[in-house]
Amino acid sequence: MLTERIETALDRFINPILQREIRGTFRGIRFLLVLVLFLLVLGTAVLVAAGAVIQRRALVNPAEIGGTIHAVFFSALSLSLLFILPAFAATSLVSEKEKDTSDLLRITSLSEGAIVRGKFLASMAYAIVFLAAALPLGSVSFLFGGVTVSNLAASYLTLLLLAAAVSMSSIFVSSQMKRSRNALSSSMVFSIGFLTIPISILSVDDFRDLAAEVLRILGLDAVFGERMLAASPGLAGTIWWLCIVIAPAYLFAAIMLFSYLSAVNKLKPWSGNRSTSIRIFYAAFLPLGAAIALSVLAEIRYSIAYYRIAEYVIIVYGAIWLFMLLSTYFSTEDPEWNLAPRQDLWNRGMPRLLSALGPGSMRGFRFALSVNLAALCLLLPIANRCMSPIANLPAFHASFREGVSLPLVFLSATVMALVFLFSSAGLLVSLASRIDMARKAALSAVVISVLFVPLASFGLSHSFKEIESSSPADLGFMSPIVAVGSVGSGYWESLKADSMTGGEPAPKAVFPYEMEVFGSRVPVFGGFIAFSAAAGSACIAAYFMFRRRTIRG
Amino acid sequence: MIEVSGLVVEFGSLRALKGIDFRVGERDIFGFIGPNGAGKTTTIRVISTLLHPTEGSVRVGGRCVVNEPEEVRRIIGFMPDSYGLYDDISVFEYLDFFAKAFGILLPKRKRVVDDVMALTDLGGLRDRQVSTLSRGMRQRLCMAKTLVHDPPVLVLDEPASGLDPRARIEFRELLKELRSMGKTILISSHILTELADFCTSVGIIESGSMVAWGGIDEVMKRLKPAKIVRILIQGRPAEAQEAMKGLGFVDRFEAFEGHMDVFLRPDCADVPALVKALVMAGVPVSGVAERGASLEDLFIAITEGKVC
Repeated sequence: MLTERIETALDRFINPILQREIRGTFRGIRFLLVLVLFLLVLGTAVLVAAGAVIQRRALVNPAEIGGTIHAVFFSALSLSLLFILPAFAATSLVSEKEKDTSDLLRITSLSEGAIVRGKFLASMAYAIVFLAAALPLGSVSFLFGGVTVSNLAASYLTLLLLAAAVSMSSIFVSSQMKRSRNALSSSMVFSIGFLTIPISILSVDDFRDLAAEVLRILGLDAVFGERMLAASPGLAGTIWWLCIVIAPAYLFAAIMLFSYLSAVNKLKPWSGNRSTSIRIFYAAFLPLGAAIALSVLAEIRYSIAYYRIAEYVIIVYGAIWLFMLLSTYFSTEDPEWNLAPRQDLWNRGMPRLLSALGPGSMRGFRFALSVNLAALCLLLPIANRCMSPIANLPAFHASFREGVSLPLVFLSATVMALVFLFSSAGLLVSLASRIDMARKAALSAVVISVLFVPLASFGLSHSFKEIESSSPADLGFMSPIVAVGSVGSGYWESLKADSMTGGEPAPKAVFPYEMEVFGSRVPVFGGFIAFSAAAGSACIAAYFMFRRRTIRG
Repeated sequence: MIEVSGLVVEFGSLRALKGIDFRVGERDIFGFIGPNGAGKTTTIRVISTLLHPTEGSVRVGGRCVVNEPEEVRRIIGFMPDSYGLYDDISVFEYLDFFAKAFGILLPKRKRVVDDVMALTDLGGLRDRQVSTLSRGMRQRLCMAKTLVHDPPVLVLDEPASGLDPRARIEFRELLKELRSMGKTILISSHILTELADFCTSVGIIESGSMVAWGGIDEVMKRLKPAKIVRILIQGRPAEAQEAMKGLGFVDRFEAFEGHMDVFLRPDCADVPALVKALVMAGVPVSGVAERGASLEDLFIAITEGKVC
């Protein structure tokens, strides 16, 4: 009787989708097997990896041993979540389409938001079970000490936020796809992004203080931050709030909201332009994001080299521009159509040339154009304002005297133009095709652009002859293609030399200003351009070949 | 109860519905018929708030499907042609889920689910896992789901496709029971014998246009389908066919073992002349009977099998 009363009282608050998912998933043998396997793999990984680190460093201090176990546990658990959660969340909405239950859900009294929230909560329930099951393993580090409860709490909070971001982005992917397999693979790409992008940023030398602070908070310094902590005091004051609280909170909220709104939009019946909520999101989040990013740059401008400021500003520009393109594309695309959106614009009397420019519909076209123009108008003055203090730096004056600033401006403009060109070309190409092909083409263009931005900006930075030596740590993961391409030209040797000098830049480390391509030496920056142009051309050519084949079929 | 006026749906350059109009009165059973690809499912998806019209208006119970979708969903029960089911839960849990999704809270929900299971004859399957059900049982479960919030309007898209004859008869009985309960039903099908028995009105759609709609008798009267004469013959079918080819009032004919169904143009049907022509051609005619036109005959007569 009491349980019935409790059940009745709780009934009002429990999302029906969450209840159904829990009923369907948690009682199955598959869930139990995955959980057991997860714990076995996690336990083995912690045992083997922590044991290896302890043995290699010949650690005897219990606090260091405890710290090592905690660091390995946290890393292994993060990795596990990044690959287990997409497998669950990425199929959540797409499986409804495959089972023909999607329409049945949409015809109920549940709002589209309630459906997405239910799926998200189910994924979080899944994550919480895994995190809770792993907790006893994590607490092993307390036997040795060196890890505080606040370290563990901070680690678990980070893992929960990571789980939330991975779940929501996977649900977003799930809402856009028609097949589970595609949703799963795309979600994995997102997950890899969640792993590599923070590591990439933290591995750049300019963010050494930030990396040290993050490792200290999470209690990971025993393994990863040993050298870094010695060299860095961490962060304090405004920059601490900006980098540790405001920027991560902004990024988390942006990922969650964008994914949520896009997934909700996708479930609604299409009516020309479903993007009212996305517009509000743009209005609130894009200027805020630009302001935060540029504030961070303004705060750290004196601690980083002047030539790298341009690099970061370009990355911020590029990221915002790409995000806008993606958002616009996803929020105006029509799920019910099998034909080209461009065709619709023709039907509605748009001139042929103009109709090639806009996504989806007339309203979508006007919206995309106005948002993009407004964002550019807004961002350029902000960026210029942010850049103006740099003009007072002695180094900037010096470079100006030496005639470097003109190429800097010229190259910045070129890079920006190329980024926009690539992104826009992807969108234009996408509009000339069917929806399913359009997505592939647009995403290819985005991938190329994403590769191109760091490549080109890095090349821009390093094409100045003032740079006597360049630490491999500067490279970080920002330019993976360059790193790979440089292996054959002695870069790897310099990397090894660097690691042997204990993290200090190797004296006169040889950065390959020239790369060897088919036996001839090619300037690095030229190589970037050639690579990007070739990749872009190949992508577009492949797309057209595929498109012709599809039409014939 | 359902009012569709000037409904146009476009998918890019494809005009799937070209301005269709029809009305389904309260407690009517409206048979929505048309060949595959004619636009039945598109119309039903608009009525069910799953798709927005490009032009025109659709109202269910006086509510607009575009501006008041939540209200429409409360009064409509939609059953798609593919019964979407969750295989990993039991029959009771499946219905409980949808009842909750329609906002029915405990303890009322348990009673509602039990009632619906009794109505659809699923009481004995309460704890059976959905994955173990036969197609007929799945269809009944999907129907139960459609009824769980007691909607006054039911929209059923090809509900009996793929069922064996027994399940089809049981389903027909269920529909009759629902009609007696005062439900308004829009049912689409291309199996016309299914609908002829119990529909009070029909709408015939082809290539995205409504060819005819109204009460069955009224439509029959208005469209005057072909007069059908069944002629029993004792052999020589080739001669019979040859003889009929020369007759202008014969629209078409279908030959069977021992008899032929001859479709005569309604405006100039001349049965004596037909019999005379057959006898003159040496065909041994042993009987002549006039057969009433069915819904199927009407459908064949006025549609050309075109799709959009």
